[in-house]
Amino acid sequence: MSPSCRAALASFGLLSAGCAGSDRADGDSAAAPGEDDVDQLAPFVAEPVWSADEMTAEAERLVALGFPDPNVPFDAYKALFAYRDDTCPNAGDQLVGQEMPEGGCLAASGAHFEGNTVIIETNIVEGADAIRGFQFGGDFLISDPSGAWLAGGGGMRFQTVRSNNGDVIWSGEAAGTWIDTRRDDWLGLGFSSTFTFGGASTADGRTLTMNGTVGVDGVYVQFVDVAWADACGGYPTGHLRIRDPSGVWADLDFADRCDGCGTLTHDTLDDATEACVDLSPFTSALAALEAG
Amino acid sequence: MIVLLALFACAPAPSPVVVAPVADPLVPMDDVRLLRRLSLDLRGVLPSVEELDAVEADGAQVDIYRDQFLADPRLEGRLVALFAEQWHTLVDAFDVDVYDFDLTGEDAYRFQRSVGEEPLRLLAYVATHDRPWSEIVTADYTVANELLAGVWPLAYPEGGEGWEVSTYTDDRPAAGVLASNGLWWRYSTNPFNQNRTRAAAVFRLLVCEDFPARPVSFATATEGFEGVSSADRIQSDPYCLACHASIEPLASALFGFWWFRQNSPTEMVTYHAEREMLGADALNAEPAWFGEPVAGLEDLGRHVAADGRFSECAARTMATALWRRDTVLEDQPRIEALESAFVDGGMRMPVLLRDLTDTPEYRAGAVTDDAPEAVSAREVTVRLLGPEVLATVVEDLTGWRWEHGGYDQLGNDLFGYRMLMNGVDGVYITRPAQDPTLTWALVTARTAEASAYIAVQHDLVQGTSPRLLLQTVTATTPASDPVFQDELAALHWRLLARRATADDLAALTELWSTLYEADGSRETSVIVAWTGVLAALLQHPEFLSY
Ligand code: HEC
Repeated sequence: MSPSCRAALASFGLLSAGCAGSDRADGDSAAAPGEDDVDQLAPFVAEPVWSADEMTAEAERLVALGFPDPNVPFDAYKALFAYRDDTCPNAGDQLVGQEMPEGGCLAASGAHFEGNTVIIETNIVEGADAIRGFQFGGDFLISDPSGAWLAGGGGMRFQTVRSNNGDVIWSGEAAGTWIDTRRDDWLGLGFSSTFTFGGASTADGRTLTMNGTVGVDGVYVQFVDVAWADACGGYPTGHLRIRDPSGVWADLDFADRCDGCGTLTHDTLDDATEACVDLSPFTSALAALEAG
Repeated sequence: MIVLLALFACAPAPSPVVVAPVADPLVPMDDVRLLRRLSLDLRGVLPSVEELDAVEADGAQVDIYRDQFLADPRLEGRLVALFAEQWHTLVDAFDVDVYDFDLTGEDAYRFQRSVGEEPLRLLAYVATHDRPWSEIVTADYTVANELLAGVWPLAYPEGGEGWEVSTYTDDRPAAGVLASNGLWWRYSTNPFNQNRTRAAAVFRLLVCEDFPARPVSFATATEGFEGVSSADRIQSDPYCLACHASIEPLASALFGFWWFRQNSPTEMVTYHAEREMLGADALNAEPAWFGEPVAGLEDLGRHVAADGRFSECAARTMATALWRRDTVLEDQPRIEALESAFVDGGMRMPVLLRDLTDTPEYRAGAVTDDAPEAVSAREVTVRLLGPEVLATVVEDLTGWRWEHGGYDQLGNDLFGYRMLMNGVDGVYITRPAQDPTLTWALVTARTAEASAYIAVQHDLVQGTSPRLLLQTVTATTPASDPVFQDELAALHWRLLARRATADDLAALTELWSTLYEADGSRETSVIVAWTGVLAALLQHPEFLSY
């Protein structure tokens, strides 16, 4: 049997991210279940574990791990097909689970393929417009002959529409749970999300938007209508939510300040604080995607 | 066969020994049969002969044994089976299967049961380890076995064996069963359902609010909402709000278990902390528990535990399990008394189980002739062995479990006979049947025949010691030998917990002789005859009921 198996997911980084930043302030261990039973009926008061500065630092750490570009896992997936043989996996670049043996197949190269995938690629040139993109979804695990592996459960999507007047409109989605053990960025650490993004570059200017959730390496954030428009001079509007290890969420409201800062509120704290977060690694990645 | 049927026909029904005053329509069963009921409910095995003798000599001993049974390690397994009848997690199929995890078909049954048992094991652990019941929704641990530790993100104790206290390592909040994969794999959801099924399950299981069971009349649906989308209507139509005002906020609190893609093992094994706040948008409802906002799953667990209905629901759940029937309005005073003793006792499950096994409803062996119709229709005074208990009893007696390709045949419905034997599969059948159906009789008959065969092969053919069922006779003991009669009497006592009468012994002897002669009175006919007699006893109405 190949060293790759989905059971390996259980011991992988993403899935054991909690070891790094434990959720539990009282830190009870497996061997000794909570000792105090009176406490259990007391109201829950979650003291945030992180200060406002730590929250924004953690958010910046997450952003620095790289923009979840849907092309990255899709390219990694296609590259792994170099290890296929005539019968394993089935024909084409998709995995059709029903046509493979239970538990997947082992190619002559030593690579192991299992799961299901669906790929829809678009490449349409219609009049002056060119529509290019892909949708790549499924649940699969492919290990290369060295035992390193790529696994995904969810969907990746990216599409650009270019007009010959120079307008570009594009959108993408990175959703589900994805890991590539050969990398050390967001995808290498393991990634869980429901994240959509999009933008346009037209004569009227440039816009960028991000929505949804991203979790990498024990940091969990949610973008709520985070947008960049020329009017705000490269700074975001919208909300960035950050999950404190206590399990309580903080909300950073950029409002219309246009300086990368906003008001940070926390469900269980009365005081609102000012906080700033630098999301530029994401915006520059998006600019590259737009150009690409 | 005719003889076997005749034996059934003349088997005396468990008869009320004491006629209770008219005021109490429930007649307690005799102490020895009560001991048997307690042993089966709390340990899943028959009482030993020593225990039967002791209670026969002094009826008061039954309560002392009951207290011992409450501390017996087998109680944990029994509670798993009893909770399964109401939690419905021991299903035969989940959205993913064994092959998704690089296990083989041989592990299929173990995989299904391990997943489904996880939440039940946590309940049973809390119940039997002197933990307060509230811990089922506040625990920062779960209970897992090696198989689950291999496929889920769990810290399982090094060198551990079987079910052990373990912790998830994926940042999921401390919320006991509310944070267990097993529960949410059973109660899965989809983009239209948006965790509402899960919310309904939480209400039913933890505070006994059964929304789907509420009477619904479309005639009472508010008019004027024609053409309004269901998403809008849920938020505004008072008819929908009667349920959905509570369902949506709870569903909203469960989005850490939201899977972007259904049926995706990669998605399903982990908690998704980053999705926790998605419900507020998806359902247009902030997470809350009956109007009180909750800050996440851990907070939700605290709110559930602090809800007055939580402890009452525990009392109701266990009463349903041990009275073998649903609770009704007339039970309310009794339930409240049980609940308050449970709470005063620090919410320790053994306190509740002890009090419940003291109730007349538990101890009844019959109703009086003039019992009100409602009482005789409601009370289950004669209980039938269900598949789980029959399996453990037979295993205890013979060392044999009915298995096929790794599947416990009395514990599944893909290849086995769980539902046919009045069991609960958790999907189609959601409460144990109480009547002796034809299929129940067929499964018990086959189980009896196989167990009898195994015991006789062991005891008489191989002559292995210690003996299983036949303690003294050999393959050459004639029916006329007093040892033979003593053996029959001892079997009757051990298996049925009633002393055999002269008529019982005569019927069994006649059965033995008939079978012996029908087989040609050869040397090996002794084996045939004993197998028949044991099979008859193991499907005797008094063996199969308790
Ligand atoms: C008696 C309580 C009750 C009432 C009244 C009620 N619902 Fe529900 N509804 C539920 C429960 C419980 C569920 C979860 C169902 C389950 O267990 O799968 C549900 C589920 C739903 C779902 C998800 C359906 C799916 O297929 O998963 C929708 C949509 C819904 N209800 C709409 C409505 C609307 C619209 C109304 C008013 C016309 C309404 N409900 C009235 C109890 C109720």
